Amino acid sequence: MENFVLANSGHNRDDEASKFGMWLFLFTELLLFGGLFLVYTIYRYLNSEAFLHASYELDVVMGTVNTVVLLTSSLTVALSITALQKGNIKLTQGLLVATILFALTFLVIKYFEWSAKFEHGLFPGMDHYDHLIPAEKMFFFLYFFMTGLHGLHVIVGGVLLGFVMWDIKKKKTTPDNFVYLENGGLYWHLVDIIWIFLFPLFYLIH
Amino acid sequence: MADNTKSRHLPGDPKEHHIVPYKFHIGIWVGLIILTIMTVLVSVMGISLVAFSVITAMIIASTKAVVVANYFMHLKYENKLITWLMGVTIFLFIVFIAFTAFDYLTR
Repeated sequence: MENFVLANSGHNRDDEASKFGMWLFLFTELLLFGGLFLVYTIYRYLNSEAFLHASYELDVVMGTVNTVVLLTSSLTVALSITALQKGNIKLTQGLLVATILFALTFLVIKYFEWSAKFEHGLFPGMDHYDHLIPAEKMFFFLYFFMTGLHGLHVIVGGVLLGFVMWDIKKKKTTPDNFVYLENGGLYWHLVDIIWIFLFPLFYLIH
Repeated sequence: MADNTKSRHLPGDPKEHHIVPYKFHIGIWVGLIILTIMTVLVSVMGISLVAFSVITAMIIASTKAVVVANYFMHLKYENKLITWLMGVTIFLFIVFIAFTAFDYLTR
């Protein structure tokens, strides 16, 4: 009888539809970043020498550390869903705290990375940037735009997971009703997937 | 009747969810880290052929993305419709890239 709910009584829920909606949103996100990757691909093709030269300015160590941080945060979110499904609420909360801490770590590392670029005057409009050739300008413009937009997504993802934690505390998200956690996790994994492509394209292709 | 309950998901039925074991997730994570190290090594060891490096990097990145989607995002255990729509999205993106490339390559 527990699951017996009158159709359209306003009390039934459809987890599959909720997740489906989240996935549809993620597809639009993929195309948003896809457009930027398209710009990057074409300009890189047209100016491969300049892009190559400019990419040496980026810090591979910081990029690699951030990749590991994001991959690990994806793991902790995935584990938190398993933990909640198994009814271990304390572990779920701990894993979500860990995920948000990883998000902050990512942003702190990004801050130091961007600061170094600012010191070299490489932000669009700065001294050094203004004297670069147009193709190298394009590289740094895309670098700041794409990692910046991705950074915004990291912040949004962290806040979303914070809301999910609040829901768990309020017992609205429970071992029987965890679709919010799943959707928050989906968003977080998307942030990870975008970084998986950003990292080699900007830092590694030498 | 039994067939009907199988194909139609009851809202809020916790039994329809597949619980992925902790160890499995950790194994996936180890695989992703190994792939990351591989990409970094390919780059740092300085394979001078630019095109080769781009293709290798993209193949590894795509593999990682597929692994994250399939296992961390549970795509493998979800309704197949989502996988199909994912395919449509990727197809659209390939069309965008191909058409733009045709334009630029033929100028």
